[in-house]
Amino acid sequence: MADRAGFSEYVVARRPLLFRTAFVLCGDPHQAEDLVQQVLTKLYVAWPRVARMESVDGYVRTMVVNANVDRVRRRGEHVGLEAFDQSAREVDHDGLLDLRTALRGLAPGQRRVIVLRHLWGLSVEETAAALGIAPGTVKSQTADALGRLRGLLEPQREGPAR
Amino acid sequence: MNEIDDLLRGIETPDVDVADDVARGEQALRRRHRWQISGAVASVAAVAAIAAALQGGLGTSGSTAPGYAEQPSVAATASTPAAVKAARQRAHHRLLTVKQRMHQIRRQMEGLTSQKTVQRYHDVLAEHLDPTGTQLRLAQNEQGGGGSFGTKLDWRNGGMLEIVVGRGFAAAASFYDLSSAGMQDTTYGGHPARVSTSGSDLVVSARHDDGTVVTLIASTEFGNNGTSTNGLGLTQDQLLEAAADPRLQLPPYLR
Repeated sequence: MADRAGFSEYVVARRPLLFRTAFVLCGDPHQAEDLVQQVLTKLYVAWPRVARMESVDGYVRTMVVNANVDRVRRRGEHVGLEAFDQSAREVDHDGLLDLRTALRGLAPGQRRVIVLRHLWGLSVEETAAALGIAPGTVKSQTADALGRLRGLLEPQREGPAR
Repeated sequence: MNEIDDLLRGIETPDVDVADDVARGEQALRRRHRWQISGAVASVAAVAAIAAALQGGLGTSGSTAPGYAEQPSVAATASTPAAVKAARQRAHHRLLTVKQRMHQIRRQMEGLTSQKTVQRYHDVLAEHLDPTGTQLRLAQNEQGGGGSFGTKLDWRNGGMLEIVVGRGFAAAASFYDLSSAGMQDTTYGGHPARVSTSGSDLVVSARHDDGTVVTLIASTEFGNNGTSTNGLGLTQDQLLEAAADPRLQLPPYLR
């Protein structure tokens, strides 16, 4: 296990962020945890190679995104929060419901931009490079996503729906 | 949009022990090693089976098979990376052996095919030039190269009737000095043909519908043998008729 040195430290440092990333992408805490476990298992196997890479974070982020795409394909789901159910609505006490409902209204591309810009703190250029799109597209998708999130979150907080 | 940032950062994360992640990784790693060993064993077994089938089918000697059957069981009990590497190397070696064997088999098949082709050339030419079967004999000779194929046949015990089949009039130039024969264009049966105009040998070439060109060279001397007979008793027309026979074709592996 000597050649896996550094794996535990990486996981301790990045696991919360990876979970949040998975959550924003798939919209469900249980599925998010499954995704993270799946990714970390693969990462452990590939660690001797991945650890030598220039950007371990970038590689792992891509693993999470791909794992979510695979999950959607496997289950025949749409990329969204369709799995959201009423029971979750009833047990939500910490604002998670608001976010899940709001994220549901975002397109997959907008969710990826939010993940990179606001969770990982990447710049517009870095986000554009990571997603293979133009910086202008990143800016417009970010603005659209934030506007949409704001619009979706406000009514929930004001209304008595909860 | 600090509110969004706060919301994202506020997503609660489950309390998971890193040791659990490591344990799952270790399990996957062991599973992968098992797959690698199984794959290596399966490769060795498959290659051994192919090699055994090939050798059994042809009944040839010089086998490198001894020990094939024992190899998989040795690899199956191994579980270290070194054992996996060794199993892979053995599989690679077996694969090379099979490739070499396949090459040998192909050569053998070509040999059998070319012998058949020579026999067919003899039979067709005999049909045209030696209906009684007293003049033309096989002479254990094959010529080939550059996509052409031919043979020298014995004519009247010391004379030579050489046939070269190729894809153009120049095909026979690899085996005979056509320039010394002063080849001249003509036609036979409506197809392009060439006949010799100089030298002591009779040389004709006839092109078939499919582009195959058959060249026949009748000589009073059989190559280096030096045995000669006078009077071949053949004419250019006879040779052209024989050369134009569509049954005179390249062996299948050259078509």
